[in-house]
Amino acid sequence: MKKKICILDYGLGNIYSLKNSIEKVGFKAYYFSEASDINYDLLFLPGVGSFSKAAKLLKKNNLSQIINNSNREKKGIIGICLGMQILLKKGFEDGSNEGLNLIDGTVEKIKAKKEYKLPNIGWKNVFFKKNKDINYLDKFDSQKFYFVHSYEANLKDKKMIIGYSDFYEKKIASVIFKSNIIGFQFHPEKSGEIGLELLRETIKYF
Amino acid sequence: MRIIPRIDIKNDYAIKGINLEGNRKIGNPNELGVKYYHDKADEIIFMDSVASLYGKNNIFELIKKLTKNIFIPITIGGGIRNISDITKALNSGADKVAINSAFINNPELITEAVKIFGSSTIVASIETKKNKKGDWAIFYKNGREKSNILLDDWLTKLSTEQVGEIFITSIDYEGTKQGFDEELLDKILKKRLEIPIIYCGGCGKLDHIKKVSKKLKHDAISIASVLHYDVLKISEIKSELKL
Repeated sequence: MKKKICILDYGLGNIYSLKNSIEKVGFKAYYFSEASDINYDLLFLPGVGSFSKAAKLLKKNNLSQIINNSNREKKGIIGICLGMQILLKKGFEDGSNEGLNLIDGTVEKIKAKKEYKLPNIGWKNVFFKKNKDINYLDKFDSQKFYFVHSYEANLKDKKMIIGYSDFYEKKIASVIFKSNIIGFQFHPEKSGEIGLELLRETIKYF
Repeated sequence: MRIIPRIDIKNDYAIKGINLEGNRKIGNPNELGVKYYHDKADEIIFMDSVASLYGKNNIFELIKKLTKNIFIPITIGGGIRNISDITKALNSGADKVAINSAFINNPELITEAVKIFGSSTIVASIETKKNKKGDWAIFYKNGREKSNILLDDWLTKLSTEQVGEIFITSIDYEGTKQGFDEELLDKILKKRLEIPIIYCGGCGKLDHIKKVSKKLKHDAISIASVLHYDVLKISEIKSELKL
């Protein structure tokens, strides 16, 4: 049976292109709104915008409760960009705001020399660390994916960072993983054919 | 440096002009977009060249179709007037919007747009031309109307407002294939902006790109004629410049 995939529509960002990409790789997805079916197998947290706005929108309509329940039931949760950042405990974009706290850590502005410019925009090589609990990512090691962000995830438990990329002399946590949860700082749905492949494999795995 | 093809659109056709004027049909925007996508474009910019003139916008339906086949970031511009237009653009599958005229007419929209959609979604578009005094003036409505704003002040304003990127087109050089306007570029670089820029106008051959690539390491260029008329391929540019 095909997986039931839900994209959480909390009012932020380009969810249409995520849906397109999921369909392109052979799955079907529906948007979550208040009255939607919560019997999905897999939940996508997309997101473009600010942490504070996302945090507020998630509190509204009990969305954080729904996500927490899904986590308790060990459903797959896939966060992309801000959708990854919001998985953490706290964010400091536009004031201090509570995240979903599914993963311990904070989201802070990337500290870098001014001449490097933020947002960090463009295609960067992502280096995956070997992890015995998640084995489908090897073939994506060192491939380029599309990033656009000014804030980064600082995880308490660094072992959960399973992929990183370079931003000049800094290492940016680019893929985070904790049992049923995976987060991508970059946009697989915007990273061309290799991004689509990653999306397909991720959906299959989780 | 990112390489971003720019596809100007007028009534469902991809067009190309010179100095933002005299538009010539060059093909189907969807086919061109897909071609550049497979040729390793970093992103693609679609500009509706008449939308801001006539106050209408047909580009959304086109973008909806387009994003079924293109899986890299897409910026759309031309005739985006307010928050609801931005929402429509994003719901059509665009990732970013490029706005010029509406920001000039209503600078408060910049603050509001950045606050709602986040910096990375908002690209400020600038069309500029050198005046007799040697200053660069800001134009709008696809290069047809001159504002009272000067480039220097406008760049300061836009960076204070924290737009995600600034997309700068040299009207004097656009479509001419004579090379990028380096005088203008140097003037912009002197500002030491902390925001990435996308520099556009004048690219006619690989050497032109080589010349500006060192100056735009953390930024992007936008090119059109060289791609539309098959002078260069994006993949070639990238391998030549080791991007």
